[in-house]
Amino acid sequence: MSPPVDALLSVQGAVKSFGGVRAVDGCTFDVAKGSTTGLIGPNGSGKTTTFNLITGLERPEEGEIYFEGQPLVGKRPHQITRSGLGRTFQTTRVFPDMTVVENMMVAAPEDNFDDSADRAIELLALVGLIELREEFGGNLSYGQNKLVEIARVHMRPHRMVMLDEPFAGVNRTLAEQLVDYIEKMHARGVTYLIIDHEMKLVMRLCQRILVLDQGKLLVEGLPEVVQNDPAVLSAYFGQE
Amino acid sequence: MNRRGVNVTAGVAVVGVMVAAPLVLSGYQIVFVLLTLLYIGMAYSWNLISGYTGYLSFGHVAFFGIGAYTVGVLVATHGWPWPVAVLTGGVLAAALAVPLGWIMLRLRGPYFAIGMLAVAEGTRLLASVWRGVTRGGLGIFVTTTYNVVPVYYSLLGLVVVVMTLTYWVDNSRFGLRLLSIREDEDAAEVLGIDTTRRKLTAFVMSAAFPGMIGGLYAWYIGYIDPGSVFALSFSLNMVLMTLLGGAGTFLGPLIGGASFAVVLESLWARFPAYHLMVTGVAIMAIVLFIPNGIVAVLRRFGLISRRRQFASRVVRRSQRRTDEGPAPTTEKSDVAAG
Repeated sequence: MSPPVDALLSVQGAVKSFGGVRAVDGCTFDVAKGSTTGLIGPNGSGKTTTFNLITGLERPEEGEIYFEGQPLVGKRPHQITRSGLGRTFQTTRVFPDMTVVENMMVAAPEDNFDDSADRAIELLALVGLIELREEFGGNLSYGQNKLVEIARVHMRPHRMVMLDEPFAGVNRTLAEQLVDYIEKMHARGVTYLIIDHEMKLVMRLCQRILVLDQGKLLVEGLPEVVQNDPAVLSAYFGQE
Repeated sequence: MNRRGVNVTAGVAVVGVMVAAPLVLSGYQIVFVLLTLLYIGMAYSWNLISGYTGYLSFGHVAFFGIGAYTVGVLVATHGWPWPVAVLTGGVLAAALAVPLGWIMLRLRGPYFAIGMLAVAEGTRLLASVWRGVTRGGLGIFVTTTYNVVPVYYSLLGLVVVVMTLTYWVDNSRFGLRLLSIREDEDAAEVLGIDTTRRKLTAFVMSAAFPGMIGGLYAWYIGYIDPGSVFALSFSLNMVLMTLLGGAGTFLGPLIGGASFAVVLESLWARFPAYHLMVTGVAIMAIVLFIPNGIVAVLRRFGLISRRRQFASRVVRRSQRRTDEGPAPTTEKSDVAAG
């Protein structure tokens, strides 16, 4: 298979099993450049594993993955990140024994210190954490950790950012701030792929929705179409 | 004078006292300080890889022994001048650390710790069986001269170098990247940090110093054999001293190494029969009451700053900016509610 011309990210027939379970089972989809795309599906449908395959934390047994036409399979996670593709984790991975500012600085590309510092400060201000810049990661609340992680992934000028459940366990006000922030960064040209169960927010943010079920792409389309698709309802609720 | 100025002045003053010390101390006292310097140097070396990246090496004595044997063989057999042999020991230990680290640093957690233990035992066995070069269990008579003062000054110099290096690591983004490996290696990778390269760099740095210190030890003690310079207890002491002082900190190995030397010496002198038992009780007490080391206790009482210098640079910069104009902050109460 060859890399598609118009897609920023392209997953083609990816397969990954754990023991006897095929967590990702021939998954194929594209993410268009400049879009905000939602990746939804019931628990265990292979969403996070798909993220892990794309970012190099897991290696697919079969299939190809392309980012900007370049194959990703076989590359190490830091190489993939440096090629312009960032991600966050479902359970936040903020470094607890580092301050918020250190968490930001450690994620900066290895260039000018002052530029990185300015970026860190700007991002912390954007997510409203500037007051907590010297607090240790381990002392922050769950929601604050989410914000640090989302701000931190933007320390590099990524062309695409994948967010794994950014809204899970986050209160309404905070979730609204996150949506604003994602929209702001999207307007600056960042492409997003977002996993979440918060349907209202996903439908609002995303121009396109991908639905995974049992490790395969079940349906893709516009939010309003996907929402009422019988196959999607069946996957979620077990209806015929 | 700013904080940095105070620190530098204090450092220069301490080094000055240490330089003058052999002129006034008794022979026994010089040897005691020499061994303390040796412990501190070893603790700093271990701290570079294990303290900062969290890869606990239980076999660092391998590099010490390699350095000791390099000096033993080059000086006793080939008649090299000892300072050149000592430097060669450091270079050799660092060079061996490259392939060794390439293999071993793929192991994580307890597997790395045990793997390094096996490496140290392997080097000890190699020294025992490679009779043509090492004379095996017979050991090597390195020198019959009394070299305490030159070794003292060499160790002092090495400790100053390894402390300066650690200070840089502790206040650089390189050090922060090492810490991120300790915190969560996969997350560090995903943030774009080449963890393999960083770990390997730290590992090589942490091998070079024991190589040189081992060489100096051989020149000081005069006779080496596999059992004495590849002793497991030496690896364990490096772990112990650093944890006692505070792993992954600038001052931890200094405080840990110095207190270790003092405690060991006083116990040895007072309870010749029981000192190892008392040491065991001391280890249990450390683990129970100050698991993060003395530095963590000093920080809690505000005696040492928790903040790394470059983080302060970022914060100062942000303060300057907020002074110039209001930053677009959102309500803090919203954030705190999360």
